[in-house]
Amino acid sequence: MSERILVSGNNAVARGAIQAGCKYFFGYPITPQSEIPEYMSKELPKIGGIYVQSESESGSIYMVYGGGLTGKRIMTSTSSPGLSLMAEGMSYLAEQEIPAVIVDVVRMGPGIGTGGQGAQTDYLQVTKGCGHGGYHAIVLAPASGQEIFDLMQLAFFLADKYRGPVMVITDFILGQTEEPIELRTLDFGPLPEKEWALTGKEKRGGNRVTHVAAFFTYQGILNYHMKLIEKYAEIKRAEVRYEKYLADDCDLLIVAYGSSARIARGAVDMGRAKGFKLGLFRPITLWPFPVEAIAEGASKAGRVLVVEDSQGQLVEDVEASVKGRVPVHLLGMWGRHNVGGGGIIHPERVIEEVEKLNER
Amino acid sequence: MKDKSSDVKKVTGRPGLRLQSLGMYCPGCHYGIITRVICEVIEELGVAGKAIGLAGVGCSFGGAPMTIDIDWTSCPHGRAPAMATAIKRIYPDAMVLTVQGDGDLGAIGLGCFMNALVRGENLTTVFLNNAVYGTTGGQMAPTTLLGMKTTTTPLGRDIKTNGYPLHVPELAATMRGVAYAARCTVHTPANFQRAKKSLKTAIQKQMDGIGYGIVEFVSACPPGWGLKPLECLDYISERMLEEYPLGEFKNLDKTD
Amino acid sequence: MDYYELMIAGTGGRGVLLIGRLLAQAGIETYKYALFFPNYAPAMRGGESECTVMLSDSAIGSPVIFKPACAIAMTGSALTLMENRMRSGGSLIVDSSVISDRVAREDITAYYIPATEKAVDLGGTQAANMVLLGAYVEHTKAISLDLLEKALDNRLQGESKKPILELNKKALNEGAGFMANYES
Repeated sequence: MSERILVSGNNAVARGAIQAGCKYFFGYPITPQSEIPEYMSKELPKIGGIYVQSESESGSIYMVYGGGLTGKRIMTSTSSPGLSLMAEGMSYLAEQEIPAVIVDVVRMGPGIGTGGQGAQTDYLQVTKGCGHGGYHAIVLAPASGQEIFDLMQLAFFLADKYRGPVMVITDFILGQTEEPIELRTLDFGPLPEKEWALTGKEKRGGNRVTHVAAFFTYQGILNYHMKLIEKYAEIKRAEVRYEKYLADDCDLLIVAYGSSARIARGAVDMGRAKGFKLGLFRPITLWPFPVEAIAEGASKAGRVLVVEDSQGQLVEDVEASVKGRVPVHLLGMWGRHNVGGGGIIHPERVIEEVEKLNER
Repeated sequence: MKDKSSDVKKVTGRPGLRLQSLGMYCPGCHYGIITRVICEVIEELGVAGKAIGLAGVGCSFGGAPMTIDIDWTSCPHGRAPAMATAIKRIYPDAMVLTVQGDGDLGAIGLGCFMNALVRGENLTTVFLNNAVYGTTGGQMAPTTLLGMKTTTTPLGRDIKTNGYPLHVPELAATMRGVAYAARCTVHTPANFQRAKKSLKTAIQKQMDGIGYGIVEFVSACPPGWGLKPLECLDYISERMLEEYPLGEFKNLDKTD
Repeated sequence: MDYYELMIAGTGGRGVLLIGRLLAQAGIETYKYALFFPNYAPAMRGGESECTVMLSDSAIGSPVIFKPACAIAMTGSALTLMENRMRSGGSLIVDSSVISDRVAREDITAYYIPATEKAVDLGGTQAANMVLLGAYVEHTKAISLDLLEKALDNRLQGESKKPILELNKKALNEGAGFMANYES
């Protein structure tokens, strides 16, 4: 077995990236993710890598863009307001098909929100294309330290495979929680050569590489779009990921991602001990969204409860998947145990909600 | 019979790096000449194989990647210095060049540019100043002259409403990481030669690891200025150079 | 199945998070799963601070728990908070040197440990947290004291840290000894 160490979720992000061969990090401090740039600034120079602190998240994302053009594995991390600043660059990364990994350790929004504490209020932003023009980034939503470490490696692989930005979304709870992780290297298979990388002509035997705006390429802008549309369809076919927990034998299916999914899993155990037939469906890819699997699970259970620490964002995709066939209930941020910045939806509160639904 | 073709000597021609493609510039635009400056300098320095160019948004954008035979990327508006930063840090031996217009560098990207100087990046920037937004149809730029009419300063630029013209190389020269800052034009043959020398010096500073080099090219935009190409040359001499004096503002052999 | 959960609450700067992290760190030697979650306002020092530790041989579901089975209270307001939240039948360990209140609930068991007093006797108030942690480990037997001492050795390396390392180890043992002979 590989080495096992106790680290925070934020630390697992950084270690997972380095494990994947990422040596270049461009970022800007923002709570609650600053442990990631701090770790990278210390570790990357030791392995011949580079850490650059930008002047803003706008600066970060364009360093990521420039770095990604070289074909190297590049990343940045930020939290919600910073992601808004990166939105323009995300759109360009998608347009130019530049592989890059962007981590969002979500903090409450809109605006400055709680100034650093938790919430899951970026779901719509990360899944619907936070920049302009209509594009998709694969969005991975881990729920534990080990999964953060593993999915960071997968994120770099998928970014290279599909040539585009891949997002990993965590939050305050996942970022601060410390759990043991096994430092294992995952192998996802071979990848094509990056013959598109900018290196200077002499490193490639003299032929030049150019990246110009999409409307100059692929013999027409519509052909460019058709290529992207096809790529997104292929991702939807091949890359949907989710986890089910006691979901095949339940009469209430809880749907949750990230830290809320962990809390919901605790609630499923508590509920089962009380005789409630609860199950959990946890989307791991928020885009592509597991539409069919959720529809099937919901039909089987007959009822759905979405648990998310937000105003109600994931619930929109769940409702769209279920298409009105069964009732979809929501326990949102109003389920927190206090009104202050440190409020949390506890598993006990989920059980209260289940009891309320059972009385209906 | 004497072969007359042997009497014809080729005295000039297309630079080797200038690709055979349609020019994308309006008649009388100086960007084609500046493209030639860039080609000749890169050739003479022998750095084409390690050159990576980054073109900003605006009229600087279409031409450079299409017409100069080195690696290129086009950049989102104003962001070339950040992208160039990453490329140069990853490939320290590369010659990394940004080509940016007055709107790209001086307005939307001024913060991005200044922060590259704050970080002391080792890059070269060609700054194209034609005092208007050419691509979008002749609106005011940060470098528009006071009193100059544009489509968004119909009565002429005035200080109260629109502030002051921006002097980029003078500003850059105040930054400790900048090794070279100069302003030139290509509106006369002599100035063409001086411009080549300036850009060559700037790129050499990068290749020697001394520091950032920026060269501003004051250039003409006949449709933007509402003048004929030849009138533009006078306008440069009489008006533009009054506000934007030519010369070297900084030339260091070493930055600390 | 072995499973332990503990919440520690008090004021930031008094080592609330430190003993939680130490317990989790030591815990991964014994348990397949361990978890430490600090819930605090990152921008604030001296404010309320709390953390959760879980040790388990099977996968841990929720990283947070509203009604813990066991808690340590290091301030009066932490005592009120924990007394209100604790699960019926749970154990609440209290630093009785700084908290004069007594636990009113009869369905939980309170252990009053004069932790700050003991720490002062050993050489420094800052070790009160270790006295409480020692008491917790003795009470639950969740892990061995040796593993905690080893975790301290890893955390406090070097000659300059030696005095504080020794103080902390003594405090751990003092707390454990006090709990072993505890009489309500």
